[in-house]
Amino acid sequence: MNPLGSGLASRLSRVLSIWVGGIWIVGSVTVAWFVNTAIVSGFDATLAISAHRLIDLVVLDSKDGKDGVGASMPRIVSKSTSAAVNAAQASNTPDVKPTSAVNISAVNIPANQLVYQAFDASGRLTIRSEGAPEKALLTDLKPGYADVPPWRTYVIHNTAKSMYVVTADTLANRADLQRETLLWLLLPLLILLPVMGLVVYKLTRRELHVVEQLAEEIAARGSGNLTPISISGASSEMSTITAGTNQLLMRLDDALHTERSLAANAAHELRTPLASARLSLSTAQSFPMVNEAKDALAQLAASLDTLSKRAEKLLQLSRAEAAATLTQDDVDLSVLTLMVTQEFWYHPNVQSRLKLGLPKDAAVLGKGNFDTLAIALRNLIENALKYAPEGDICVTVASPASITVRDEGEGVAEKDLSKLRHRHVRLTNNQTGYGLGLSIVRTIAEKNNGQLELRSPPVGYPHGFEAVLRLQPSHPA
Amino acid sequence: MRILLIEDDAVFARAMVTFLTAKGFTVALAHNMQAAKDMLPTANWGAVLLDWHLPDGEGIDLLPMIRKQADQASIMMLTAKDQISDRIKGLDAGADDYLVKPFDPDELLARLRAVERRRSGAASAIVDCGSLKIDLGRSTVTVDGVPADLTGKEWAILRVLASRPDRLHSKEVLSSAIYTFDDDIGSNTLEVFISHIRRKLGRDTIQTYRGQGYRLTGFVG
Repeated sequence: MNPLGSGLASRLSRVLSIWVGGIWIVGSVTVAWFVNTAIVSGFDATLAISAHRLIDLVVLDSKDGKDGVGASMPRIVSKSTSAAVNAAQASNTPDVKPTSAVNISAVNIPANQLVYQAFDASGRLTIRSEGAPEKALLTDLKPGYADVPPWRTYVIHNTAKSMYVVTADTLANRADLQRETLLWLLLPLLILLPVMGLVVYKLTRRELHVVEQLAEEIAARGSGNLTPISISGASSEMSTITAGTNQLLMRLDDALHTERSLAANAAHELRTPLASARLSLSTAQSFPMVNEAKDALAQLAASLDTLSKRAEKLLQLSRAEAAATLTQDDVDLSVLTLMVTQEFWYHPNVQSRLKLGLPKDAAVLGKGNFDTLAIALRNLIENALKYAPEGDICVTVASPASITVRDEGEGVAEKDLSKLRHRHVRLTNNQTGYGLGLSIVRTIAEKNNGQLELRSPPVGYPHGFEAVLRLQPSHPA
Repeated sequence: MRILLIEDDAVFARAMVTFLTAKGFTVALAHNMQAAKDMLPTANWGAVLLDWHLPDGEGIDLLPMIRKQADQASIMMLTAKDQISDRIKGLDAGADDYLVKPFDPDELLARLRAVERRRSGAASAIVDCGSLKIDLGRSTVTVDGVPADLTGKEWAILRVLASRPDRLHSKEVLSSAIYTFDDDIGSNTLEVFISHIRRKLGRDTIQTYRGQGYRLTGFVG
C-alpha cells in the first residue's frame, strides 16, 4: 500500500490539477485584462460618439440665437448656472479656459450616467445635462480624452462655431463594472478549481486502476508464486507491460526450476558415484596391506567422507533457498520429529541418547514444507550429536508450533551465538563441521516464515545448547 | 544370504557386488525392472536392494511384485532420493528399510546382518536395552538378569518391537501380530497388553507416540 499521496494517481492528479488550474488562472487573468480593455474602449467610444452627436445639436442651437435652453436639445437642463466665462479666451482656440472649475469633492455624481457640458467660444457653460455639475468639468478644454477624477471626459471642438462639448462618465462606474466582470470571471474559478481537482483525481484513479491492479498482482508474486499476471481491461501499453512482466516471470520460473532440477539432478548424479567410491574403498580396506597403504586408504576414506558430507550440505542449502517455492503444508510436528529421529535410531548409542518430548493430546501443526523442515531438524540433531558427545539430546515439540533440540554439551558463549547463524562460521576446530548447518536451519526457518532461536545455556540448565525452531502455527480444519 | 540387487548404475552395481561378495553374501544383479521380474521367482532371496530410478520404470512400482514373489525377503530401498517424503513414500509402499546414497558401507552391512539374524532366528539374536535383554532366538526376556514371564500375546508384541528396535511400530502392525482373523479386536485391547508388558518389564520399556505407534526404549545394541 502506498503512503498517502505517493500513489501514481495522486501524483498525476496533483500535477494535472496544478497545471490545468494554473493555465486556467492565466487564461482568466488574460480574459479579465481583455474585458477591462474592452470596457474602457467601449465607454470611451460612447463618450466620443455622444460628444460628436451633441456638438451638432449645440451648434444648431447656437444658430437659433438662443442661449441656455436649447429646444432641440434633449434632456437639457434649462438653467445655465452662473458659470463665469473667460472672455479672454479665443473662440477658435481649442484650449479654451472655462469660466468656472468644478469642485470635485462637492459633486454628487449619479451612477451609470453619462453627462455633458457645452461651452461657447468664450468658454461659458451654455448647456449641461442633468446630473452634470454646474461648474465646468475641465479647466482646460483640450480636445480628446482626459481623466479628471472622478470623471473620464471627452472634449470635442467645433472649429466653425468655436464651441465645445464635454462628455463624461464616472471612473467609479467603470471601476465597478471592471470589478464585477473580474469577480464573475474569478468566482467560478474558485469554486470550480477544487471540483476540477477532485474530478481529475477520480478520473486518474479510474483510468489508472489497471496500473494499481498490475502493481498488486506483481506485489503478490514472489518466489512461491510465479503464475502469469492477468489484467482485465488493460490498454495496449498496459498489455505490453503485462506481457513483458509475464515473460520475465516465466524466465524466472524456468531459472528457479532449473536451479531446483540442478539440485535434484546433482543429488542423484553425485550420490551414486560417491557411494560407489566408498564401497570400493571399503572393499580395498578389507584386504591385507602394508601400514602405509592402510594409512593412505584411511586418509582417502576421510576425504571421501568430507566430500560426501560437504556435497550433502550444499544440496541441503540449495533446497533451503528454494524452500519458499515448495508446497506449504500443515505439518504435524510430532510426525516430522518421529520420522527424522528414526533415521538416528539405527545407531544404538544415539537412540539411547535421543529423548523425545511429544505432545500427548492434540497434534501440534506448523506451516511449512515437510521436506525442508526435516532437513532443518536433521541438522539440529546432527549438530547436537557433534558438539555434545555425551548426555541426553532432547527433542521437544510444543504448542504453538515449535521444535526444540537441547543438548548437554559445553554450549557456546553468548557473544558467539549470533555468529552461528551465518554461513561458514565454526567456533571450534575440534569437530569436523562445515559451518553450514545452522545457516541452513536459519534459511529454512525464514523461508517457511518461521524463526530460529539459539540459547546457551538453556534456561534452567547449567550448560548446553538449545535451538528452537518456531513456525507459523496452523490449526486442523 | 542371497541378495538381489536391482540397480542400473553399472559402476555402483559392480562396487556393490564386489563389496557384498567380499562380506560373504551371494549377490545377483538386475539392471532393470524386467530383469528383476524375471529373476525374482528363481531363488529364495533373503534381501532385495532396490534402486528408485530404473531405466524402465520406478523401482517403487516393483514393491508389490517383490512382496508377492519373495515374501520372505527384506526389501531395502537404496536410492539417491534423500527427501523425508521419499522415505515415507518408500516405506509406505512396502519397503522394510530405506538407505540414502552415499551411505556408510558398514551401516549397510549392519542392516543386512540384522536381516540375516532375523531370518535365521539365530541364538545370538539378543536385543540389549540396558537392564532389559530380549533373546529373540530363545524367546526369553530378562530384567536385570531376572527372567520375566510373558503370555503368548505379550511376547508376540515384544517380538515385533524387538525385531526392529530402531523403528516405530504402528498400532496396526502390533495388533496384527496378536490376532487371528477370527478374533474380535477391541479398540483398546492392544493398549491393555502394552500396559501388562510395562507392568512386568518396567514403565519406560515401551514408549508410546500418540497416533503413531510404539517402540522399545533404551536400545543399546
